[in-house]
Amino acid sequence: MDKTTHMSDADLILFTDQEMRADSATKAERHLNVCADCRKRLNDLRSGAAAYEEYRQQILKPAFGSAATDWDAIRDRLAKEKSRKRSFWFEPAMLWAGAALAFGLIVFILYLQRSSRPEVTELLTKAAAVPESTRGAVLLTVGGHHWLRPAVFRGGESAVAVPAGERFTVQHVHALFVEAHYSWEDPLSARSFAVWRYQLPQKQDEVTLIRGVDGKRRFYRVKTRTAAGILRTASLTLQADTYRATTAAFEFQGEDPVELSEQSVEGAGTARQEVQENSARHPKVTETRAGPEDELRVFAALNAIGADAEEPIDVKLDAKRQHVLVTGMGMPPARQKEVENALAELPNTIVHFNSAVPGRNAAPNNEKPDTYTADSRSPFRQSLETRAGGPGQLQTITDRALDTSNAMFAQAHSLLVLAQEFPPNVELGLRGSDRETLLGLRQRHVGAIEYAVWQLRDELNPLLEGEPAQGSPPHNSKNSSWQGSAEELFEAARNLNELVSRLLAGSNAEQAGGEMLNQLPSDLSKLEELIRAQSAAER
Amino acid sequence: MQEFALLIDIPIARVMGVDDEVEQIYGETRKAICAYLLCLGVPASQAQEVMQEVYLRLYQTTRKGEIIHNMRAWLFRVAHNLGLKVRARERSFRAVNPDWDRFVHPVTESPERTMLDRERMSRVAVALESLSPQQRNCLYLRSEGLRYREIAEVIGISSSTVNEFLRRAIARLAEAVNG
Repeated sequence: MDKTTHMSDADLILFTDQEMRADSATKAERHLNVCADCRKRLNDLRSGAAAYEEYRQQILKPAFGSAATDWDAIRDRLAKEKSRKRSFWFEPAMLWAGAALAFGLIVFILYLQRSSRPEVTELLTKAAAVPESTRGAVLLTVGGHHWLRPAVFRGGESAVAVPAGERFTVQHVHALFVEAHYSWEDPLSARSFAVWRYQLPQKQDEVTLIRGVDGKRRFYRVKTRTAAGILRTASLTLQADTYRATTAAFEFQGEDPVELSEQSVEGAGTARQEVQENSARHPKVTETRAGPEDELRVFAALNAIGADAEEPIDVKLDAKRQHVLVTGMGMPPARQKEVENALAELPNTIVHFNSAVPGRNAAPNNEKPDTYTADSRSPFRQSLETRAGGPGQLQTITDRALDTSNAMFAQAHSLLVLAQEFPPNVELGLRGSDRETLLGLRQRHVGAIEYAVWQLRDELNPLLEGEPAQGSPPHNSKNSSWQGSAEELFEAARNLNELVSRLLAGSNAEQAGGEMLNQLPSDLSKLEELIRAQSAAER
Repeated sequence: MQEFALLIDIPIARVMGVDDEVEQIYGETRKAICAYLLCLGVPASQAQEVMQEVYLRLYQTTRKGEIIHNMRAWLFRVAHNLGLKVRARERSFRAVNPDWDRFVHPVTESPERTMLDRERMSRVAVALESLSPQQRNCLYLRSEGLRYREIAEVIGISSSTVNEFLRRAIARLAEAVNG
């Protein structure tokens, strides 16, 4: 696959669904980095798949909701099944066979008791009690690459010594563990496994008794599968006599398998030394608790590459306030790399991209409609066409105004996110330089909104000519803080965005359309007032 | 990574009672399985009977000590086969009747926004009606998180055919929403 050979739709869907072989996926990603045409088709297909998902959630599921049968009905059938089975065994002809089977069963139970295979909870409980003092290093294996890390990170330290070129992979694995609520600090332990397993709403366990390659040592392998969360399968291998965890394997949805294995006792000393040497060669990124200032630096870095508005990126502190989690959905691989590069040097920051298309909550509702449902035969539409100078001109105005309005709304949303993440009490706790950074971000968003409103006025001017210059009454902001004022501004931006969409992309009756057109100047004025209030809000 | 030789599998039913295990699986999967049956066109009244049969078979299989490696795929496959048998007895395919009144945009909840979303969803509904049953089934199972090989196993086709069904289905949906 090169620049001149486009990807087929089938390949694009395989790529989206992470069903491609690793080498093909790498080639596809490389191609998508340089081919705008394929990227566009990929986004189109993803929007189709997203529309189905929305339909399934909003329409199909409610329609199907009430049809599930009761468990009681199944229990009755199970009871009948059991009674049928019993009558079969009480048939005279089967009595001798039954007795023989019972004998065999007793022997089998005795065998099982000898081998003492406990159940999952018991196993994990015993294993969790194994002292950790002797634990040394762990080999982390992902996609054929190996890294050594300490078995347990203590005191907030959570870095793996890796060459700079491989840091993204380890950071990515780290992010997967965090997202799955599986301890990255102590991943090869029964306790961490049990904690993860316990919080699963649904799971399926399997215990396997296995023998080491020497034929003597025995191990239990506990495997838990779940459909909940991104960690779909995790297995932990425990020595049968000591319950010590020796290996673990993790299957994250759509990711390469992650394996952990304890270094042998003989090799532990060497491994520890190697970890230390590695650490010396590659300075560790030591981590402390993450705070608003870390989050602010992420926003600033995203702003620097224009990724803090109109991009499906979410920034937040994790529940333990140890990391800033940056998640992106449905972004082209090239853009993902730009974001990763921009954030690479920031401490306490974990970046995770999901190939799924953005959900409804991931970003403001600023989808750019490619087609409009406007009815070109309606009298109102015809009057707009007359004002614009013809159907073609109206279409041009519509395209531009909707783009501008969406961009304005996205900037207002970004300002709102800043206001919500940095309320007055948090802002007061920031250092002077961080407060300057926050102010700079705010001003850039407000400036972008102001410019968009100005542009919108200009674009809509042909349609507004002849309309009474109906200014809104002076709007006095109820909020003295910029945070409160940002919420008002966001509301006004959303109202204006909806009004523009309905006016230009909706099918309107003449009266309703006329009322919208009348309302437009006052909505624009109101937003301009709020922009001025935001600019004047005390620092 | 250390290598191991398999000695013996302990089926999950040995750790929990078979009844409890089936009930737990039922609780976790019933909605998805029931929705799939209705998606196949099995009438709601008969879907209940088919559901009972699916979990009864699970009980029988588990009780025999057979290990099911992929529970969700297994359940969908059994439901698929039973559902098709029931459908074969039905004369007409019963499409889902969308309850549009339930569709309210969760962010704005404004009537205009809801109207626009309904229009978009109605275009999706029209596109879905134009798909073949196999395409719809593949789409549904994909949304349930099944991998292509699992979908292939459920429906009884090859993975590459699953890819082709999905390609056509998703392209049609993309056309409906993007124009």
